[in-house]
Amino acid sequence: MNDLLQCTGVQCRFGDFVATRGIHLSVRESEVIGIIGANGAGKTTLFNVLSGYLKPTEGRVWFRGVDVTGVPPRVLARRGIARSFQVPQLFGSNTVCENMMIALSLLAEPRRSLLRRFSDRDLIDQARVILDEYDIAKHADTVVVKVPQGVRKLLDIAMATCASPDLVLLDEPTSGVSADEKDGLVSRLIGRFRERLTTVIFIEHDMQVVREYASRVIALYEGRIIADGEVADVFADADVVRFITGAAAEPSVSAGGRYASA
Amino acid sequence: MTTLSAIIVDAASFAAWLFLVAVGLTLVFGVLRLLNIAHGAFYSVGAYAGVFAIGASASLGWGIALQLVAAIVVACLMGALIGLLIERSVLKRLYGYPEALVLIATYALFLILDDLTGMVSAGQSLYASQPRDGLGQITIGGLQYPVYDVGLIGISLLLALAVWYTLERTRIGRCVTAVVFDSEISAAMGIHVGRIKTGTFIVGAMLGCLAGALTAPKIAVSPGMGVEVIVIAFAVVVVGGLGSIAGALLGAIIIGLARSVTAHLAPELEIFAVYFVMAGVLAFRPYGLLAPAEARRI
Amino acid sequence: MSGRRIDWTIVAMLAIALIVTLSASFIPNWIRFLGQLAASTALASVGVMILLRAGLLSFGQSLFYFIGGYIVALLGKYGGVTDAFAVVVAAAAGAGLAAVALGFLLATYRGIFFSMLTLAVSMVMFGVATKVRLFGGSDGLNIGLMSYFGHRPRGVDAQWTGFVFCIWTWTGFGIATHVFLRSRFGRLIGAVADNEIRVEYLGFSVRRIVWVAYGIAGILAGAGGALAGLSARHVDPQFAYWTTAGDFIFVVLLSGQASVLSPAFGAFLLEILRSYASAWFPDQWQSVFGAMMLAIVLFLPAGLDHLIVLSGLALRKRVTRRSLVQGASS
Repeated sequence: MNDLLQCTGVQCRFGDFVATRGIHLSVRESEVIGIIGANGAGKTTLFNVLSGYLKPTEGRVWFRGVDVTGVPPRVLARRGIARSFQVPQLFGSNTVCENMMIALSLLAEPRRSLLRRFSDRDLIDQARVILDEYDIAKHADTVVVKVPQGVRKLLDIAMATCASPDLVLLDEPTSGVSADEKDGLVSRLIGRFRERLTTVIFIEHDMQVVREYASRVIALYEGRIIADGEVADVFADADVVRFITGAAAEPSVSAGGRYASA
Repeated sequence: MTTLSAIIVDAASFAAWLFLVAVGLTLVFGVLRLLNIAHGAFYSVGAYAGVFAIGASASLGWGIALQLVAAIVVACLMGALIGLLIERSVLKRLYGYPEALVLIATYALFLILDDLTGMVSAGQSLYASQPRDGLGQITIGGLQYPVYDVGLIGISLLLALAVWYTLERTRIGRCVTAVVFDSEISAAMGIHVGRIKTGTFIVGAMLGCLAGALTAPKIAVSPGMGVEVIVIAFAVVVVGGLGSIAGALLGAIIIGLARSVTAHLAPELEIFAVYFVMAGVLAFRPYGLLAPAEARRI
Repeated sequence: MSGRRIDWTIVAMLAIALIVTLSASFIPNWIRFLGQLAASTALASVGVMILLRAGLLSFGQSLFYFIGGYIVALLGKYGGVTDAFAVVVAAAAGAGLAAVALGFLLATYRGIFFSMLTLAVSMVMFGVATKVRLFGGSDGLNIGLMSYFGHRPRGVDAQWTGFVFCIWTWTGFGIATHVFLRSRFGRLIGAVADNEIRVEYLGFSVRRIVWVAYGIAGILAGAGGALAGLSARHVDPQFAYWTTAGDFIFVVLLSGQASVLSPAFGAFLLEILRSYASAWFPDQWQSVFGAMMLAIVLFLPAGLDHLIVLSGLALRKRVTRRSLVQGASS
């Protein structure tokens, strides 16, 4: 069985501080993996390594059997690894639609099309189609700095994934998103990825989201993986309970049938 | 060995001058996060102020020590005045503006100040060599040097010590250091950041003028010297790390040495020596030798 | 690609060039000369505008302006080349090559570093130029009369031809740059200023984009320098001086960055301002200039374009607005 992504012995050191150590992990196609851990556990650092932003001080990363350790994000983006950010990385002075157009023209189109006109009817239409799919089309002509956080998060993800990537790394997709937006956001996203059999790895603090959507959970603590496996098993793991979720991590169903956060 | 001691003395002398010129620039950058291109003009203003002060006090029959004191006092006063004026009327409005616009503003200020000093002097070269001539020469390693030039090395070291002491050991110095690290947190801690910024800019202006005044006895003070000064001051500050006083000292020493060595051993390359060194340092430390580390953005 | 829409900026540029050419004989000499200088300044200023789009302020475009001008002078003096087309192409190419070489080092830098390093390099060039005999030292070099594909006009004809040549050279480079800026790559340059990390994650090297922008700005400044040399029939080290670089920045500041046309008007305005100011305040032009820059930064940072939008006047703004609505520029 060919793994999509593999890490062996990844370690990231910043001077005296070790952010991640001894990370071994294998990801198969179409898995949906949730990464949990307290702040500072090394989750975003891991994403930085997987997406090429950081070169690990030790260890290797393999994507589709090819060693991609230290390969920069711009190369990995074209090979099929997409990444969204905790703080959405958008082009602030452009509108939502323009942001999408820029993303499409860079990722989804061949390089030689770069000299074509930007305000191409085709490009505009393509962008609007994607905005519709994410249900943010009504903000299309608003400048990004004025748009609500949930929309910005979705736009961030939409831009990163516009070229149908094989692997999507979502860094806290629901953080900063209001409770009423959360549910819709995640179900739309994961639904979309499941349709296309995209492999997803997401970092989440909201344990209900992890339980609901992940097929596998990896728990990080102080830079190491302390648990990796099925959702129920990981959440039952003693270390995970001790360091991450706390004892009262059982979901409680409220009257409206919606989950309350742990 | 004559050449070696000549190189060292010249290096020290040049490094001293470089530090004098650059310390104000790096201090202002560290606290206000702006590169004040007008710093070159402060130097100019200080030089002219020094010339007039020395000329006036010399004609009043004052001794060399008093002439120098007069030059220093007048230059510092001018610096304080102009610094206050500029900070209150222009810079205060520009906090939060895009970097490019702030740079253009300080560039515009440079043009204005430079022109004004030129007008005051009617475009003539002025001299005020009385203190330097009057102090005589001293022999080091078989060569004669003006006592004044050697004295400047001492003054520069004293200044470095004074700045270090103020920043490390006084309360106000600690506040300034705090603002350099993070102005928002400093404000949250009750430090009056606005006053620190104004004060620092004034001190930076005074230091620039002081450098000009102290250099005046060594040179022909003429219009247009401001731009060369800002370029080389920037080189010094960049080699050492923008915002670092220790960096300014280190940068001054490195560039002083480089220039002295090329001046003695390969004079045709002297004009390029400074830039080669700068390019060399930036090649393996893109932000200077003692530049502070930056936090991760994503 | 879906139906072609008219790009009004290009139409405007062609129209202006045509009108000016047809009325060239009726325009007084001194205005023609100003127009030529404006064309050269405008070309270099467009380069500054492109870099500003990437968030970079170059204080050193005067370096390439110098290189362009001196290539024309040296080709004439040592190579006997007098064909205007040939020398402008050579100047642009030479300056472009220098920009590619220098850009390789500078493209890593942003902000203050970038600005001051560009200043330092152009001042070094100035220093070298004043000392090297080959470049005529601080007196500079003279440039002889030009020929145009073998045709050698003299006297009044030469002035007319030179003027028309400058206008069309400006138009040619201007239209090419406009097409470039309205393309997706042009948009990418603006994206660099907004968010470099996102650009990298969308598959592009920010360093390479800055490098390309710097190269193009160099080509434009070189062409500008060539035109300046041709018009004044003289080049000197002042071409590389920091005040020349300041002119280009002033033009962009004054006129705003809505389109390639803006610097053209800004440059012409600058030349007019300069001739009057040097008549009224011959010794204080620099401080007047500086005061104007300061005033603009403090009160009208988006440039005069913004003022004209506010007051709703000017065909130029309407024309550029239409192309803005169609997303052709900015």
